[in-house]
Amino acid sequence: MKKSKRRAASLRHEANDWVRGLCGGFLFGVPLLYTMEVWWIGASVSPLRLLLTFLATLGVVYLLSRTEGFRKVQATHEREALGDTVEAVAIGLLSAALMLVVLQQVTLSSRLSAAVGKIVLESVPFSLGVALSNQFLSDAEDTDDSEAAKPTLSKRFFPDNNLNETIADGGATLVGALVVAFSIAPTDEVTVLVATAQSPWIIVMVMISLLLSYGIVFQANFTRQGQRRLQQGLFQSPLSETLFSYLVSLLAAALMLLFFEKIDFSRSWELTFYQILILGLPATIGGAAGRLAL
Amino acid sequence: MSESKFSEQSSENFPARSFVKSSAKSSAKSFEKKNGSDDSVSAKSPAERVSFWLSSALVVSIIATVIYLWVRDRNQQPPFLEVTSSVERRGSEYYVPFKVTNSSGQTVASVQVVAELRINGVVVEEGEQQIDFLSSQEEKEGAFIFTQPVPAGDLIVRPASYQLP
Repeated sequence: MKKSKRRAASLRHEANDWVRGLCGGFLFGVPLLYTMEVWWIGASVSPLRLLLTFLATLGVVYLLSRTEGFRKVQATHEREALGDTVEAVAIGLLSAALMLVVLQQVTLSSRLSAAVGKIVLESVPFSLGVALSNQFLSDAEDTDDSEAAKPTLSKRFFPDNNLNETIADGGATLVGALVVAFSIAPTDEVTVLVATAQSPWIIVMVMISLLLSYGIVFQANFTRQGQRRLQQGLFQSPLSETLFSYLVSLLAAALMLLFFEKIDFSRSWELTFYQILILGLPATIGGAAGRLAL
Repeated sequence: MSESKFSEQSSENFPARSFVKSSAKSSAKSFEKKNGSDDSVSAKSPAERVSFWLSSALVVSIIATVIYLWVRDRNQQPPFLEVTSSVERRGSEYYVPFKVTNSSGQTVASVQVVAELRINGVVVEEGEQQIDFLSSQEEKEGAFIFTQPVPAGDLIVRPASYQLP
């Protein structure tokens, strides 16, 4: 019984560490994911340069893993740091590969060299983000498990029974989403991605957006996660806040597309809808980061 | 390996001090968690072992694939572009769908495909398309649209130029 509990706790720790790493990777990696030039360079880069890039990434991630890493418990000797390095790079590779498939930049018809090149190049910021995930907005109180450090309702920033928390969360989400969407909306990437978009992958993208939003704010243990889970009120439970924030992020994406005149009302509404959902992914990540910074 | 043995090895071979955060609070916390009563946070838990070996397999396979591509590409041929096309009548116009294939081992950029329709030796209609990027063995498709009767003349669809990226 005790053994099975220990095994379950060990699994939970490992899963939480991977979720933290994934969320850190996406916070860092998504902007480069929406850059066409990286797809092109990835498809044409020479294998030697690709190998050097990959080894350099391993080296940098190793240095970061020695000082920070993605695990709640920091590496205390070299073997652990090496293990964390391999896992951080693997998380980066998996995240980049998943997103390139979802964005249809890697398909079954892609050449092996092009697919590997794109995945390895896109995995660089993801891997760095994984290795830096403990650095992102980390808060000492969230990593302290002692009873005294556990968050309580009395630590809440706003009084009960008012809308301040909801408004503050909505505002922070909107600002974070606008900042990220502002940097991507004027580029041609969203338009290019819409051209190759397929409904099943768009649904996957929506699911990933929601999971990342939930993971970054409520699972990755970045900052004040315990307090956030305790918050009550309109759209304050983890699931309703995640859905509400996603809708706010989509609004931010739509506003930025309108601002940069990327929405053509003469075209079919589906294309505009897809544009908003595709830009919604980075906007949602920005929105989640905005709420963490609150 | 037991926790105590692990700690001994750690302190003997790798001074933990050099790897923990500079702040006293966080370094103390790290040690407490490693060597303290929370057994679930073991450096060698089965979950960690599985994730480490799966991650290692992925990283090694990526390195092996890149090395394979490196060896394979050392014998690559210079760019060779092929275009195939057909003619379809749609309404009052003639559509000429084409497929351009880069059958070499080298990537090319700014691939220019031109189509000319000659009737009685005179070019009566022509078109040009540019494809941003064509990696090795990649195919791209498009179509030219002619208003003149294509079957009545000679149609030439060919790659005209490319750039090396």
